[in-house]
Amino acid sequence: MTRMVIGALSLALLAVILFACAFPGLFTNYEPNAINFAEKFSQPNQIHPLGTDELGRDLFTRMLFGGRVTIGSSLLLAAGSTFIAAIWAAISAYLGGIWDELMTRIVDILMIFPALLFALLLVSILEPGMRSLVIALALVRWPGYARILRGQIYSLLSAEYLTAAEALGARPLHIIYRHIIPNTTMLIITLFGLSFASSILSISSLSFLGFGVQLPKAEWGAMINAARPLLQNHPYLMLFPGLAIIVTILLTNLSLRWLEPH
Amino acid sequence: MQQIIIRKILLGLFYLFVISVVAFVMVRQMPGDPAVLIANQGRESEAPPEMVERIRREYGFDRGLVEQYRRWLQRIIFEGDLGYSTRTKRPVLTEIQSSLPVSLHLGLITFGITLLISFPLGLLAGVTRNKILDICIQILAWINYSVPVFLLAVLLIWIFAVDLRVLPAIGHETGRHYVLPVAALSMHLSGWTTQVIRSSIREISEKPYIQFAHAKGLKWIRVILIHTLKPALLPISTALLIQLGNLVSGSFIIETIFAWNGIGRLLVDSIMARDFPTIQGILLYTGGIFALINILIDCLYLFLDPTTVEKLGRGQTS
Repeated sequence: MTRMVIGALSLALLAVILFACAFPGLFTNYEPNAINFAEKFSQPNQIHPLGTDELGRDLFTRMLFGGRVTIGSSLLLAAGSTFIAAIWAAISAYLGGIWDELMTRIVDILMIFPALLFALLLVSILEPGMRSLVIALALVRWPGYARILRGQIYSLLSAEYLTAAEALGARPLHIIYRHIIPNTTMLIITLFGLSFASSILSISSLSFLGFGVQLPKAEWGAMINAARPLLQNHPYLMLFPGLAIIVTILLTNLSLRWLEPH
Repeated sequence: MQQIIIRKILLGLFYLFVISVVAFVMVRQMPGDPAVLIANQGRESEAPPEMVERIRREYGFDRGLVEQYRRWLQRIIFEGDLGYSTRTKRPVLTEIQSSLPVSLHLGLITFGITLLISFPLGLLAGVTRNKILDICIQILAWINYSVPVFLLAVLLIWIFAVDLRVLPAIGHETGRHYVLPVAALSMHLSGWTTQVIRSSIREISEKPYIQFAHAKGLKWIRVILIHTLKPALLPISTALLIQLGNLVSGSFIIETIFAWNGIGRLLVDSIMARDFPTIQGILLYTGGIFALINILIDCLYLFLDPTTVEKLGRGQTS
């Protein structure tokens, strides 16, 4: 019962955050990069609900637009890596035999690549920026999910109704789309959610270090980095983006616990 | 059993070979001409073209990709030599050996502290019949997990180094330097490990044979330690060992914030300077550590779970 309430509440709050970041224009009249020196460092007040930063930019607006970058790229990253993993795992488990062996070995090799280090190298090969960061992280992440999914699908394949479907002459692609994917949906959703939460961590961490967005674009991690020298006198500049990251990740994980079948 | 371990080691070596090829090819896809960068090092003006040309020949960048790779691999295998850093002119091996211990220390200490925090919590949440206690520990764990390491590090520096002035923020000379980085890393990590330990323990403690053990009147502590904990140790240690690898290579966020000269920082500096030999060396070296951890996990399974030997003996992959 408690779990139901916590889960449903988390999912609803998460939906609100996602909606606000998807359509920031509905909630604010300011531009995220509009500089206004006359109003710099205003404390949270009625005109600026979360105050303004060192250039007089409205913090609430930057939070929304920053969230769009952080959450948007995290969603893309989670979707991309889960998608590659699902396709790979389904093909690998379905083909079986030598192909399965080969594809599993490839995943094994990719798993022992020091992921973060290779991602950094990839970012420097592609041009620096958010798009490269998402691509690089997706490429180093999917093998882990593929391994989990393959195990699941493999045990699913021994089910009798699949033998029946095959005997009835169903084609491989039909079996993958009709039987394997629907039966692993819950696991894929869980993986996607977990991946989304850890994507927010990676994206904001690397943006904090300057590998993601380029200034003056807003992004939660980059905003925290920009607020570092101002922490002593204007702690709210770091507090709000920090809270945004923590709350989003927490809500995602709590919603997932609720969705999990018991 | 020995045969299986030898096969695992050979497989690990093959994986390392693949990593070396991928690292070598990837490094050469980076934009920018390394010869120009080396020639311009420490110069005010652009280096003359003949100097760039000389450097290109000297470092062998003018040869074909395969030829360059062959020479690189040959020196590693026969002389144990990873080449010289084009940035610092020191041997790559020296560079790695001076920065890897820093990351290893940080990783291992963090790992130990994380276990000290999350093992009791995870175990308690896993075996307790008290729903509220279980939920409280889980929520605490999720909160720990949700706080990004970099945010926690910045806040800890502000509180303990800037405001209270009780702990140093930069460097890694004394034990006191370890307090803040280890605290930031292990708080975040313990959130995740507590969840893993809890769910492994919970899964087993709900099995019928545990209920039977309780029912036949065995002491509570015996059921938990022998019947529950022992079978749960295998999945737990697998998950944790994988995390250890990520910790060593992934602590570079902390290394950057606290200005530690660890392996992650070395890589970032080398990427910026297009220092090919060092980048390749780091990827190969850390790949080796990851491969070793994987072999350790496999050995752990062999020793703790006898059915694995049978499975592997029949040629099935684990």
